[in-house]
Amino acid sequence: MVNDEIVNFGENRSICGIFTPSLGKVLNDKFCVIFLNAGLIHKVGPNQIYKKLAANFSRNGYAAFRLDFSGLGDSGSYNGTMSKSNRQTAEVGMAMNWLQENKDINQFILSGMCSGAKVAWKASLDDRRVIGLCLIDGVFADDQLLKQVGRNADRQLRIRYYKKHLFSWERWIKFFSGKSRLLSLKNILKKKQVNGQMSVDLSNNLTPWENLFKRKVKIQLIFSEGSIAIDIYKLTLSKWLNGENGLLQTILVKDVDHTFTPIWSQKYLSDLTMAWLKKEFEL
Amino acid sequence: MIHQFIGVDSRRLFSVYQGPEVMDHDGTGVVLCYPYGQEYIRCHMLYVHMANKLAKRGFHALRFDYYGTGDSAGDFSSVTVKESLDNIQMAIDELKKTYDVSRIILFGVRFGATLAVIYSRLHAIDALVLWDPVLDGRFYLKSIDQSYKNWLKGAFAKRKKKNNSFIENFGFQFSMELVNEIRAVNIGREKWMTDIPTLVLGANSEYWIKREDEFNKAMVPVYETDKTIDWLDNLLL
Repeated sequence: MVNDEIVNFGENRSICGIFTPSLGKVLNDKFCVIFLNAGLIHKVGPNQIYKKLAANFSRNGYAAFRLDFSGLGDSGSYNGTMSKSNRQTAEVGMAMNWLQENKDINQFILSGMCSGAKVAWKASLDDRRVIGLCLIDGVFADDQLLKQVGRNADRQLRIRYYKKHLFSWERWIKFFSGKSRLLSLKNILKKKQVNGQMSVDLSNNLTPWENLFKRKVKIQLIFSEGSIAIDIYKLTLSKWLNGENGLLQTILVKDVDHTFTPIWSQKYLSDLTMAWLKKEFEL
Repeated sequence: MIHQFIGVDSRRLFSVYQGPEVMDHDGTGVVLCYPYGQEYIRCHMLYVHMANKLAKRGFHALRFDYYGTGDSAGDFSSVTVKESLDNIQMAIDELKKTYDVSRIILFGVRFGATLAVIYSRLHAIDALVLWDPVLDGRFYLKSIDQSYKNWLKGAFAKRKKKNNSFIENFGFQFSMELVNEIRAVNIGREKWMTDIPTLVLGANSEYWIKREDEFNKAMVPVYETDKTIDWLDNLLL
C-alpha cells in the first residue's frame, strides 16, 4: 500500500511491523486491526492474505498493523529468557503501546490464523484495549483438553475428508491399489482407541471466554473445512459459546483448506471479515 | 538490520539491509532475489538466514520484495518480469549509493535465480549464486500447474471457476502478461558459461556445475555457502 509505514520497536528496535493507515480519513484512526504471524509465515500471511486483508480494511476506513514476532520474518532474534508464548503475548502489548503513543489509537482488534489466532486470544485476556478478535482456524484448548479430544477430532476430520472425496475416482484408484491409508493397521487401531465415550472437562477452558464476554469483546471465529480446528471447537467449546449475547459470530467456510489457498476463498475471507468489522465497529 | 522502503511512493519496495559484521569483504554486496508466488513464502526464512550468514561473513546483504510481492506496494496480480528486473536495479543502486558497495553479487532461488541470470546478461555484475534456477519457463509453468492440480485432488479446497485473464497457482494470481514473460524464459546450458563466477546449486545434477577454477575468483565464499546450506538442511529436517 502506498501509505504503509515501517515500524520498529522493542529491544534495539528489532521488531518489525507494517502500519497501514485507513485511506481518506479525516480524523485519527479509531481502531486498528493487528495481524499476528500464522506459524512461521512472515507478516504478509499465508498466500499474502494478511496483506490483502490489511489493504481492504484500509480502503474501508480501518487501520491495520502486520507484525513479525521476534525471531520470525523480518524481525530480529530474541535473546532473553521468556517463554515463546509469554514473549509473543508481551510483543502484542508492545505493538499496541507503539500504536497508542504514535498513532493515538486506543482500541484494537486482534487477528490471526492458526497459531496467530491462539496468540491473539491469549493476548486479549489481560488487555482491556482489545475490543475485538477475528480468529481464523484457531485451537482454543489447553493441553489437557486437547489430549482428551485430539483423536476424536482427527477422526471427524478424516470422516469429513472421505465423505467429500466419495465420488473422486482418483481416491478410489488409490484405495483399490492399496495406496490409501484408510485401511492401514495404524488407522484401524486409532479408530478403536477413540470409540470409547469421552467426557470433556471444560472448566479451565471456559472461564477466559466468560471473562472476554463480560468485557463485551466481540469475537469472530472463522473455520476452514480443511482444518482440524473446527472439529476441536465442535467437540469442546461450541455448545457453550454459541449465541453468547450476540458477541460471537462463528462461520465455517466450505471447500477451503487451512491457508485459504483458492483465490475465491481469499476474496470471500476478505468480505467476511470486512462485513463483521463494519457491523461491530462503527467508524 | 535496517528496514526501509526504496523507490518512489506508488511503486516503492520493502527492503531489509544488513551491514557487514566483520570487514572481510568490505565493498561487496549481495542482493538476494526472491522467487515468485508460493515459493516466495516458502523461501522467506531461508533468505533471512542467508542474509544473516552473509552479514556475519562480512558482506553487505540486501533483501527486497519486488513490486507486487511481500511487503512492497502492489498486488501479485500486477507483477511482471520486466518490473522485477528494474527492481533488482533499484536494489543494486541502493547498495551502491547508500552503502558504498562497489562489487555486486546476485543470489537467487528458483525464479529468483532466473531473474538474477537474466539481469546479469543485461548488466555488469561480479558473481552469481543460483539455487535450483528455472531454466525453461514453459516447463516451470507446466510443473507448478500440475503440482497445484495434484494438490487440489487431495485437498479440501476447490477451485470455483476458471478465469482466462489469469492463472491461479497455490494462492497466487499470475497475470497473463507474467505468464507470457515466464513462458519466454529459455536459458540453454551454454549460456551459463559466462565470465562471471557462478555457483549453481540444485537437486538436479545436470545443472550442478562445479567450476573449481573459478572458486578463487568468486566473490561468494563457496565453502561458506555450502556450510550455510548444510546448516539449512539440518534446520529443515
